[in-house]
Amino acid sequence: MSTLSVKTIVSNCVGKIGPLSIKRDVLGVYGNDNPQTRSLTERLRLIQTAPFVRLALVTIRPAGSTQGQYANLQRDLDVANEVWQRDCGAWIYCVGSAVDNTGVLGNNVVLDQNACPLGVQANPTAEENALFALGRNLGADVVGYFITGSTNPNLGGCSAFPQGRRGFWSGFNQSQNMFAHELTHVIGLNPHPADDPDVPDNDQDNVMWPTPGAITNPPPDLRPVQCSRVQGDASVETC
Amino acid sequence: MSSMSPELLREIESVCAIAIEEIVAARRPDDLVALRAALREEADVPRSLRQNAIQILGRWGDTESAAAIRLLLPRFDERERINAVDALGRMGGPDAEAAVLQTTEDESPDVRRFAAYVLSNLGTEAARDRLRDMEETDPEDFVRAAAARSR
Repeated sequence: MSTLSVKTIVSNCVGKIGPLSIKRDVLGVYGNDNPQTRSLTERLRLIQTAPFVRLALVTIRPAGSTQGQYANLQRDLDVANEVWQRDCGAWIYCVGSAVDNTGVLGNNVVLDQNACPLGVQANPTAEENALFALGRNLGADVVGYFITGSTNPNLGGCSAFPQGRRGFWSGFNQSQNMFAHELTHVIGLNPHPADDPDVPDNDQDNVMWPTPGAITNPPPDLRPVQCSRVQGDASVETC
Repeated sequence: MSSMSPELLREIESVCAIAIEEIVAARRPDDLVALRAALREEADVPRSLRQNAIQILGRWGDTESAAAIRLLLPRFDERERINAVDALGRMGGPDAEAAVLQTTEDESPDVRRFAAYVLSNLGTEAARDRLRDMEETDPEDFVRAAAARSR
């Protein structure tokens, strides 16, 4: 059996060409907030064999801010990857992380949000349209946004997106499970357990529990039926 | 708030409220009573629950809740005032309009940003006049821009 180079695998499977960063382009590490041992061999196996979704990340800051990306970005990404890989055999390929400091959400980075349904937002506000237009040049159909929050200060995330701009937002300083929760709403349109006929209403171990900070027995779980929805999503691809 | 439906109870305790529209569409009378009860000044409810109630009442378009929210406004922090302004804009009516006009002079420019969006929804002559003023005179660029986008 011939041995393929890292460059060939990455080029063939995820389409990255030119100079490669092992850390970013192969291991998908964009922050130093969650240090851990990461295996290149294991990642190359995943890239070649497991279904994945491309995801871009954008951190929103006030106009002129010099703050960088969200401080817990890597932690959140790692939690989501752990849940997806362990229970679904699928993984998340982060194609890039950008910071927007154009002031799209004022000084406090709070989004003027209309309803928060599962999936397409039928009547997005001007700010929702502006937010979900960001990061579309990073190489993924799905974009995750880190912001302060939205109109209701009690909401920690939302997976509603304007037509044709799949994505979600997760609030700064939310539970480490919030990001995985919102992503799994978008990919597979998984509802909360109480609204899911295939998941017990009281499954508080599940990543789709409506208060992700209160999930019991971490790391959170996904059931086979939820994984089937993830793997059947149009944005999930394989090498 | 013991008489609310299980659906409302789930939603009002959630930090990822994807089913609010279903609650509003069902328009259960007991839910409306329970939500209004959370606005009473003396109500012993967590701040987060009261904010979720305000959001849902706004979606409900419950004009009768506007006066109670107006009374609570001075107790609210910046984020809570934004939620209140948004709900008032969806409710409409004289109490809501008066409260929103008041918040166009809020010390927080972000509250004024949301007030500008809401004035557009209210659509009254006073709201349109105030929006024009904000576009010309608000000290913050992004608030003037929000007012301009809202006209």
